[in-house]
Amino acid sequence: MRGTEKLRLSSLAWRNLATRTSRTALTTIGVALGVAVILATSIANTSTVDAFHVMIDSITGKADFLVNSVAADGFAADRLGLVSETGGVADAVPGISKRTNLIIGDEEEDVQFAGIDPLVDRRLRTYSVTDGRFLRPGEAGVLIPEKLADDYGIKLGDTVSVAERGERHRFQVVGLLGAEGAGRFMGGRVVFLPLAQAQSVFGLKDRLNFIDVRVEEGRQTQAVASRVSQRLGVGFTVEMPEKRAEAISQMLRGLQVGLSFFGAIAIFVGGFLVYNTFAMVVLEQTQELGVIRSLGGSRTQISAVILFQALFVGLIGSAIGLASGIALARLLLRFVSDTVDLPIQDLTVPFVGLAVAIAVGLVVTLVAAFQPALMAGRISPLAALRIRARTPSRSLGFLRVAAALAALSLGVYISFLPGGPGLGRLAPVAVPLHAGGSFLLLFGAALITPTLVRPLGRAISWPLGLIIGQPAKLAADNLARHPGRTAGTAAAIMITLAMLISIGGMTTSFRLSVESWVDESLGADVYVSGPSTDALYDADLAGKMKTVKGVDDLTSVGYTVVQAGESRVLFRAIEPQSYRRFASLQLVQGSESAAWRDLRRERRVFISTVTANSRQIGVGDKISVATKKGEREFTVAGVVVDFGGDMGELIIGTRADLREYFDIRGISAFRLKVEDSVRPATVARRIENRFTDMNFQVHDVQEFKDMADEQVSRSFAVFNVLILLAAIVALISVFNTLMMNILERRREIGVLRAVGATRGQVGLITLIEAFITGVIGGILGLLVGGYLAADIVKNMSSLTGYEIDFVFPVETAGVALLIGVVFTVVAAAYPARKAASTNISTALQYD
Amino acid sequence: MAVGPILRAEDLTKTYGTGPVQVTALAGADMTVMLGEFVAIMGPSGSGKSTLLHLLGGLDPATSGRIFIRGIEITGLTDKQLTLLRRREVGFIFQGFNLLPALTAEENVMVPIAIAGGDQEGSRERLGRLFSLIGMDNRRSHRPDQLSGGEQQRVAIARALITEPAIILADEPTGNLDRRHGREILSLLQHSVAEMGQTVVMVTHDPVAAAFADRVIFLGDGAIIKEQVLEGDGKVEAIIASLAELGD
Repeated sequence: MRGTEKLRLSSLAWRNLATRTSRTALTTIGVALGVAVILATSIANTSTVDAFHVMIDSITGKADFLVNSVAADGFAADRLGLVSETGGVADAVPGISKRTNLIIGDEEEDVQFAGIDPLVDRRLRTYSVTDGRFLRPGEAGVLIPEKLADDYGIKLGDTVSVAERGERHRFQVVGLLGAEGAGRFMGGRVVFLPLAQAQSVFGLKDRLNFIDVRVEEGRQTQAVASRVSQRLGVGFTVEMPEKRAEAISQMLRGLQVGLSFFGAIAIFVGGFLVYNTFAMVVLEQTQELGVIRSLGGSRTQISAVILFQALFVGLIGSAIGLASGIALARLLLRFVSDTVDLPIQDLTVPFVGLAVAIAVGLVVTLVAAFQPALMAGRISPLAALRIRARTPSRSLGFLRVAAALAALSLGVYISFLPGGPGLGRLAPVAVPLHAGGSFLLLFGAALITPTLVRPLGRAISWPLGLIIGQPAKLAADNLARHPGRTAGTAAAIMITLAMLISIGGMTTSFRLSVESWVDESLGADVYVSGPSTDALYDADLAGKMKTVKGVDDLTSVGYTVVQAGESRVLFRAIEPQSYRRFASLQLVQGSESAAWRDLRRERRVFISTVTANSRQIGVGDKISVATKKGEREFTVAGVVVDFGGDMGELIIGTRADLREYFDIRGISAFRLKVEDSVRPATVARRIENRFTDMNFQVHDVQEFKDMADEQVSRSFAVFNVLILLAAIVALISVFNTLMMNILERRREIGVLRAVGATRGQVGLITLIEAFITGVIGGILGLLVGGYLAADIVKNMSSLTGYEIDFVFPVETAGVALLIGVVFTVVAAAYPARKAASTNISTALQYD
Repeated sequence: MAVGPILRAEDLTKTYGTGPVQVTALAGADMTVMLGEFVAIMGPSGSGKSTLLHLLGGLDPATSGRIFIRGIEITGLTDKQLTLLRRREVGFIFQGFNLLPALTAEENVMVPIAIAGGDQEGSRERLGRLFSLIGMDNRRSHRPDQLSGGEQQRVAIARALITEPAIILADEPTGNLDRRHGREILSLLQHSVAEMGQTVVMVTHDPVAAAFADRVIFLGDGAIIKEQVLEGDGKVEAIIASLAELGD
C-alpha cells in the first residue's frame, strides 16, 4: 500500500504467496504440469488427425475418388481407358504405389514409392519443385522431398536405389520437392518415379494398382463412381477420400482414448496436489487468519483469502502450462509419429483444447482449494491468541469413511462391467465410464487411507522396533496418535505408485502376451520377409531356401491387403499343413483340430480377435471380401489371438484361396525351423548372404522378439511420458504433505528437545516416521495399482479386441516401491532438519 | 455518544467440557466499564481473566449471562453479527502483537478498514495522525520482521485505534516486552484514553502495568472479588497490597 495504493484481501493473498516462494513455485509447477499435459494431449490428438488429413489431401489432390485393385498385383493397364471414357469423368490418372526400402549408400529408409505418369499427373496433384526439374516419362529418375534429401544428405544428381525381386535398380535424383502438395505425402517419406519405371521395378509390367479420378463439374461424384465401378466389373474397389479419413479416425481412436485418459489422470493428480498445498496453507496461516477474524474479518473473507491464493496459483500455473504444453506436445508427437508410422511435424493448437486447458487449470485449482478454504473460514478468532489454534479437524470422520466406501464400491462395480460393445446401450461411453471408475477407486483409496494408517503403521513398526528400538517405538506412537497427518503423504505415495504400476502392468502384460504369441502361434526359428508386407517373391524361392544348410523345415506365407466391407484388412495366406507344424493356434473360440480341418475347405478363414471385436463376428459368421471374382463371403472357422496385421486387423486364409480369388501365386514371407544342432542366428546370416539382392529382412527368433518388444515399448512410450509427469506432480504432493506433518508438530518436537532429545534423535524419529509412511503408501499403492492395472488391461482388451492376459508388473512395482519409500525418506530429511533445528522456546509456543 | 456505561456484563459464566471433565472458567461475573475509562483486570493464573476478555470481545460465546456494548446485547448474536460487532466496536491488542507478516506496518494498521470495506482514502489522515502518535512516521513501510517488539506492539495499538472502536481489549500487551518498551506502550494506551476519549480494558498480571489504569478489577476462581479505583500516588503499592490481601 505504498502511496495511495489500496489494501485489498486479494493483495494480502498475493503477498502470502509471494513470501513463501518455494512452496508457491512447487504448487504452480504442479498446476502447470497438469495444464501442460492436457493441452499437449489435445494438440497431439488434433495434430495427428490433421497430419493424416494433409497426407490424404496431398496425394488425392483434386481427385474425387480412387479406383483400387482388390489385390497387390494390380490390374491391367488397359482398364484406364475404360475409366476415362466413362461419362462424367474429367480426368483419370494412373499410378502404382508400393512401400519398400529406398537405399542411399549404406543406409535404408522405409518409404512409399509412387509411380506416376509425368504427362498427366499434374492435372490432379501439385508438385512444387524447388530444385532441379519434374520427371520425364520413362527416365530412370526420381523426385524426392527436400526433407528426405536433407535427412540423408542426398543432393540433386545423386544416385539412389531399390532392391526388388533380386535386382538392384538405380535412379538419379532429378528434382527436389518443397513441403507442400505431393511433397507432403507420408510426411515427406515418399519417392516419385515415372510409371514405366515403377512397372518394371515392381514386376507389374502393363499393370496399374490405382487410378485417381476427377469428376466433371456439376456431376454427382457418387453416381459417376458407381458407373465406373459397374464398367470395371469385379476385381476393383472404388473409394472416396472421406472414407479413408473415416477409417483413419477409427484407427486413431485407441490412441486418442489413451491420451485423454492420461491427460485426465494428470488433472486428478494436480488437483490432489493443490488440495494438499492449500490444506497446508491454512495450517500455516491459522494464526494470521485468526487475527483477521478477531479484527472483524468474516468467514467468507477468510475463505476468500485462500481462494484468491488458489486463483493466483491457477492463473500463473495455467499460463506456464500453456507455454510448456506446446513444448510437451512436440515431444509427444515424436512418440506418436512412431506409433502411427507417420512423421508429424506440424502442430495444430486447437482452440477448444486451449480453452479446456485453461478452464481445467483454474477450475481444478479452485475446486481443490475449496475444502481448505471452507476449513479456513471455520478458524476461530481465538486462534489469534494461540488458544485452540489447531486447525479445524481435517478428518471428516464417519462421512469420510462412508464416502470412501461408496467410491470404492462404485469403482469396483464399474470395473466388473464389460468394456466396449458388451455394454449395450452404454457402449459409446464405455471409455469415460471405466476412466471414471478408475478415478473413483483412486479417490476412494485416498479417502480411506487415514483409517488404514494405524493398523498398517503398527504392523510395519513392530519389526522395526525390534531392530532399532526406542526411536522406532516413538515414531510408531506418533503415527498412531495422528493418523490424519500421515494419511496425506501415504495417499500421495499410493497415487504415484498406482500410476506407475498401472502403466507398467499395461506394458508388461502386452509385451508378455506378444512374446507368448511369437513362441506359440508363430513358432519359427527364423523369419524372412520382404521390405513391405505384400512384397511378392517367386514361389520357387521356397525350394531354394530349403536347401540352405541348417534349415529343417519351412512354411511360406502370402500377404495381400483386401477390402472387407468398409475397410481394408491384411489377408495372410498360409499353407495349413506346413504352417501347423510351426504354430499352435491361440484360439478363443472352437477347438483347434476342428478349426484346422475347417480351414482347408474353400473360403474358410481365421480372423484375429481384433477383427472379431471390431466387426462383432465369431465362428460360423461370414465376412464379405472384394475378390477378383467379385464380392465373396468367407466363413469364419476360428478366432485367434494374433498381434500381426495392421493395428491388429487380420484375416488368415489359405494360399489356395489367394491363388483362386486374388490370382496371386507369389510368396511374401518364409518361416523356417532350423536343425537342433544349429543356432537360428547362423542360419539367418547364411540366408542373408545367399540372397543378397532379394532385399530380404531376415531375423532369428530372438531378433524378432526384440523387434516386437520394441514395437510395444514404442506404442506405450507416449503414455510413459505422461505418467512420468503425473508421477512428478504426485511426488511434489509427497514433499508438501511431509512439510505439513512437521509444521503441525513443531510443539511436540519442541517438547522432545526440551526433555533432552538431541537434534539427531529428533531427526531419526522423523525419518523413521517417513519410512513407515512410505511403506504404508507403498503397500496401498501396490494394491490399488495392481487392481487398476488389471482393470485397465481388461478394458484395453475389450476395447481393442487384443487378447491380453494381465500380468502383475513385479519389476516396475519393485522399482516404484523403492522410489516411493526412498523419495519419502529423502524428502523428509529437509523438513526434519528444519524441525530439529527450531529454537526450542519458539517451538513450544506452537499448539 | 451518551455518557455512561459503554460495556456491561451481567452474571457471566463460562464452562468448558461436560460431565466429570467440566471446568468452570467464569462463575457469575458482573462488571461495568464507563466511556473513556481505562480498566485493568488482574488475578492469578486460571482466575478467568483472559476468558472474561474473550467473552467481552465476542471472541468466544458465554455459557450464560449477558453482555452489552453501547447498550446492545451481544450475547446471543450470530457469528456473523459478532463479526460485524468486532469490526465496528472492538479493537484488540494481543500479547504476541499478531501483525500480518506479509504486510507493511502501514498496511497492517489499515487491515480493519480494508476488511470492513471502508473508505481507505478517507482514513489516510487518521492513519497519519496515528503514526505520529506512536512515533513511527519513518517506519511506516517496514515489515513486522524489520521492527522491534515494542515497535510491533505500537503498530498493533494503531491498528486497534484506526476504526475508532467503542472499546479496546488488550491481553497482556506488555507481556512480551522489556520494561522500557512496556512503559511506552502503557503510556500510549493511557494517552489514547486521556486525549482521545478511548475506553480500554486490559488484562495484566503486572502491578506496574495495572497502575496505568483508572480502576482495577480483581478476579479469583472465575468471580470478581474486588474492585479498586486508583487515585493519587502509590498506585503500584496499593495494587500490591490488594493482591497480597487476596492471597495472590
